[in-house]
Amino acid sequence: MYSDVRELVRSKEDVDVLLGEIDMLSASIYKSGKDSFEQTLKTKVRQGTAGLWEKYKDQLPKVREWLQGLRVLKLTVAWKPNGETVEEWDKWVRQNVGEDVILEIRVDASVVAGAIVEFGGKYEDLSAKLGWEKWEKEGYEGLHSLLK
Amino acid sequence: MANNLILIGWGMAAGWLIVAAVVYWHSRRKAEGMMRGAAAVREQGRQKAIALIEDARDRAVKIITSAQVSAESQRKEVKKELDKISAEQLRELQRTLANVSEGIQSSAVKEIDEFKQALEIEAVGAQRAVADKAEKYKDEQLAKVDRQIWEIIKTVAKEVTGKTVTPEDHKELVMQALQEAKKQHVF
Repeated sequence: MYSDVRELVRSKEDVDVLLGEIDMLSASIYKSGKDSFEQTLKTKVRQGTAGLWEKYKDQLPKVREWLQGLRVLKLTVAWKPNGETVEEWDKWVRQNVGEDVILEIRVDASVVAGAIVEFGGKYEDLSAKLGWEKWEKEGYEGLHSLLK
Repeated sequence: MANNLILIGWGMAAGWLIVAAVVYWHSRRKAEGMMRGAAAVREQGRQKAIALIEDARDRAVKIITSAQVSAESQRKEVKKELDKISAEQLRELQRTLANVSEGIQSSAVKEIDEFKQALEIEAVGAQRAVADKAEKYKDEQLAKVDRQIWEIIKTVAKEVTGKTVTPEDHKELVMQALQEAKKQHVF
């Protein structure tokens, strides 16, 4: 397992960015001049990951395969969380679900609060949406009878 | 000899002339007689023709006069007959018209009554249908207003709720959701 690569990953978005960098570097390995591996590391890859890719220069296809094999836990929430919050959730996921599990966060205001959790083919609505829908139904009926 | 022959010739010529003159005179007399006979016959024919024409004319006048008299009397007779027929037919027509008029009148009155009845029934039915439609429309519109009001309430309530929950609360609620999912063996 590439734990140092895992450290760079907080969510599926991060995985997609890393895969993009690996593709660019893989294409530059046998090139020279401004398209060479070294030049690509300097100009097209983030500074925070450049050292890591230099280390794994000969294992890029394996790293790619490992990243693609990470399991995904889908979390639908009511608002867009900041980086710190995502990091906190990711930490909890790594400890409680597995190191090879990453978050895929979706934002849907109708969730109201809480989250809808999807993992390994399972689905659990733990949002306030359910209570809200019940309230909507009862509230509408109440309003309708009130107005009648 | 020659003189003799000339004399004989002259003699023969003279003889022939005499014969010819006699024949001519005789023929002329005969022709003149015939011409006189023909004129007499023609005159006789002419007189006869005049008599015939006059007779024919007299007869024609008689016939025409008689025909005129007859035509006048017949015309009068025909007129008389026609007048008689016309008067009868007029009376008959008046009688028929009177009957027809009565028939039409009663039929019209009956039809008007029926129409009035049908109109009353239609009017009542239409009134009821309009009332039903109005009631249905009212209900639909009220339901529409209900839904619109509810949508507003819902939107406002959601916005208020969304704004009321702080990011910290959201973060905590998501964490609780994850813990609950673990309890429920989602992962």
